[in-house]
Amino acid sequence: MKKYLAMFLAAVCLFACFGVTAFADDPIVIGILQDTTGGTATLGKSVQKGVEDAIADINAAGGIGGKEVQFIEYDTAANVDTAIAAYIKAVTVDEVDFIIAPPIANIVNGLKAMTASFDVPMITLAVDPACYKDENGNIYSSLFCAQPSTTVQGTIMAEFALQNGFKNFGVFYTKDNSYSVALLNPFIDTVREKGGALEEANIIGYNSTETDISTLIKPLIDAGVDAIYCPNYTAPLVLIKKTCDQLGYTGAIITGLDGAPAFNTQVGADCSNVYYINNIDVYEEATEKMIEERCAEVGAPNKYFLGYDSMQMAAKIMEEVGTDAAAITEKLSSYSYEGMTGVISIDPETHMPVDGTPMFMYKYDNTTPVMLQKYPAE
Amino acid sequence: MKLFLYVLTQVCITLVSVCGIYILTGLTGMFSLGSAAFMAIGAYVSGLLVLKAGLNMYAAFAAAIIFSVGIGYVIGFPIVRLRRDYISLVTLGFGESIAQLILLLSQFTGGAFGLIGVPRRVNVWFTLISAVIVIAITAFFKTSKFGRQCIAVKSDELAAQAMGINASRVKMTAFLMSCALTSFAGCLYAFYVGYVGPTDFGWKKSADWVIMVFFGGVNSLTGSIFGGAFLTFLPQYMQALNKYRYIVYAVLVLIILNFKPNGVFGEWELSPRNLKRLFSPKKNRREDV
Amino acid sequence: MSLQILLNGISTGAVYSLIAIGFALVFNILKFSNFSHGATMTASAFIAYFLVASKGWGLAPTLLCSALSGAIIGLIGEFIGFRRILLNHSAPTYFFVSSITLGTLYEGLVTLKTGTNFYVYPNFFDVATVKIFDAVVSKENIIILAISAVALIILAFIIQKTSIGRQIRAVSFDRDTAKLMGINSTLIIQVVFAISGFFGGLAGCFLGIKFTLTSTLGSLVVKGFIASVIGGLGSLTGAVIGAMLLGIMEALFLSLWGSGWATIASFALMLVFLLVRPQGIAGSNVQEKA
Repeated sequence: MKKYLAMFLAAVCLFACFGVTAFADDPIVIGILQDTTGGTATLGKSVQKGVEDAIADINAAGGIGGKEVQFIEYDTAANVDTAIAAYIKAVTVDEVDFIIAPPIANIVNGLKAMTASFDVPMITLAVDPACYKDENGNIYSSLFCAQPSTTVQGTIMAEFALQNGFKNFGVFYTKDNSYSVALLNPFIDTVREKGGALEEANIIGYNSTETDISTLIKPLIDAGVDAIYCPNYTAPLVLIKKTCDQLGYTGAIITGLDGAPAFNTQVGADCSNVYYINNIDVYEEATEKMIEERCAEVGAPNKYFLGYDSMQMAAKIMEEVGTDAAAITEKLSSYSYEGMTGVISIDPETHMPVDGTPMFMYKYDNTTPVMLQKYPAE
Repeated sequence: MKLFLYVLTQVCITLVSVCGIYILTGLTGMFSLGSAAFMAIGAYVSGLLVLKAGLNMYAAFAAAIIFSVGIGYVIGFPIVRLRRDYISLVTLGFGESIAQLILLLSQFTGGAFGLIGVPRRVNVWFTLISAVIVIAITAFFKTSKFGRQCIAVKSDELAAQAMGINASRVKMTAFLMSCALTSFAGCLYAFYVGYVGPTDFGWKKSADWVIMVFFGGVNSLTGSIFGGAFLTFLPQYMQALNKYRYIVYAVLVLIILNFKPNGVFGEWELSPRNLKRLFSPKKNRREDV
Repeated sequence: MSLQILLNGISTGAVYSLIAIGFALVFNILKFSNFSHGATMTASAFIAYFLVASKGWGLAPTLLCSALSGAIIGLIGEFIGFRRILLNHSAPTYFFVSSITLGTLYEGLVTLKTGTNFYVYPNFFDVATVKIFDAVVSKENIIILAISAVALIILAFIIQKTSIGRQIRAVSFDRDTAKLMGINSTLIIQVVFAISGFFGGLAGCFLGIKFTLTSTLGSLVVKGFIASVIGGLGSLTGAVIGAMLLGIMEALFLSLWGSGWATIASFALMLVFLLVRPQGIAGSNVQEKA
């Protein structure tokens, strides 16, 4: 009997030892929840590549606190139902420690209520401030954003346009795209506040399914505006640019993040009248090098860098506080991190970066991007 | 377990609408590519009534269902008088119009952002019970006089009319019932997920439901339910295969259409008698159909 | 209505009419709405992009490649989607479900290859535009209009004057009787699918030129449906007239009420047509059993 007891105790000891060692070697698991199929897959895949590269870099540098970082990919299929199922799988079945979520407001809006019941920290790139608040205006504690909000971006574009001498504006936005709609009011308000002309009749919304852009945009050109603000995705932008050229429009086209390359190659013509905003300075040495080395297959380089930074920021925090969800969210809500896209300082009030995270305004010289101005000015 | 419960809820919600499609397509032989629009109406109307008007959830459900039945009556009026091919076209156009309308009424619906902050008051048991009740009602309908009239209209409208069946009334009733069920599914969806997106209710979703019904067997309620459950469960557990999801769907359905046009279950229904027959020795088994 | 809007409408209508023709051809012969037509357009436009246009071979080879791919896809579709159903004498509803499924399959395959990246055909024309009075028309629209017109005239000639055209008309009028008269109806159905796919390929390529190439390009097939309903389901002339009318109406609605309401208005237009004149403008030759 004693023999059995001894054996049993030995077994327990052995098991405990293995258990502990297994625990010590337990890797940190990151859930990459992105739209890798569906309408916004180009963005999702770019973020995913950024996060994966960051994880590879972190592991090459010895992991987080000696622990290896692993990742599991989840596809939202650009669909709220699938996203929620994937989220639940990530936090319950796979028990991930951290989630990097897509740059799509609709998905985050669908997910946010769920995050309250699981408390796994999640960084998203959706730029609409409403994504981080519940219906009473309270912030969701474990939900964060790593890129400047639409308010910041819209304001910058308006200020930039006014400084560059544009006075009479038109707006052509996509009604069925939340990114486009969210960028609308910050721009309009800033332009009007600072003395630019923007008539109500010159604000035209359209649906991305529309086949006849020409008829819709003609009134703007006939009204003689000298800049059209188009906060749209790349595919409609290419169409808008082509249509404007065909209609003989010579004024400026101011776009959001999606006017960045590969927009120029896709238009395949002179883009000198196109201005756009970006998260990165592509001529900054380190950034330029990274784009050259790693972004050959990346559809949206800025999203790559945002993904990369989000992951690095998460790793930095976990290095400091470990993988306890509450400690991470606590730390993250007032964290400041200097990454490839500049200093990201999270505001505890909004869970988004405070004003001052850099953005850059570009234009094209024929088809070559030219960086014109950094915001905030130094 | 949580994941299972979530997917189960999704399955239950899908089954409620699949029952609606079964009544419309399986029993009456009409194809709608706008059923998802009724789900959108249900979700938005019930959500808005609770959010903006502070109505009780159950009252909002009832109101939303009555509202979509009303809309269904307006759309159904031309539908039941037309050739069957036109039905899918009219409902398709209707679905697209509803999607546009949701965007146009952005001050109420939230436009591109979707309807945010619907209270999450529906849980898995609620949807499960709803699905069971809806399935029971549908099964009852199939065997009732009304169901037999539907099948008669489906097989031969002219002959049915000659037998004294008011074909357009039967078609209208089936259409309205399907509207009611899909909009009820929408209500469940809104209050389970807590968010309603404007782009989630395109004709693709309606087509998915039709495919589910055909997959299991267009003449069999059991088959339709199996199709709905199977094709909803499958992709959620095959995350890695998400890329191939629609291809797998399509190939499965094509195989079934080509080689077993009546679907997996054919005309077979789950009932004690049929079960007994299924498990009894082969010699006693009579050929179905 | 200004001249500009009219011209915009006509140039949109030209592409719609290609879609509607491809759709009407199949409807004519098998009496069902071929929902795989949209995905056929997308797939052939993409094949042409990868095989020809991305190598910089110009417009004519691209168009040809797209149209031929469309024809081949049409044939494949007929074989895997519709042949057995036809032989089994299953209800026409199965055609319909099968076509939706085929469409899903094609779209899935395209998405697998392209992801959701969008592609843009290289600029075949300089962005030069032509001025007609005070309206501007781009060269690409004029060429699209011209090619569509030529293609439609050739089709009309084939259907009306050649032996194969007579056989097509015979089969679409009554498949079984045609068979008894010694017409190989299976072959004719194949021919029709090929022609339909050919037009689908042309339309897909034009859509790619006019807009951008995405895996969801095929959703524009809805416009072809609406057009052929307005024109009269199954009637080829009607489909063209309906498409032109739809294009012009849309341009008009857009300029009057803006995006969104325009879609709803064209739906309402379709409903009105269905209620007032269900046989469409041309008066269709589809015989109702009842």
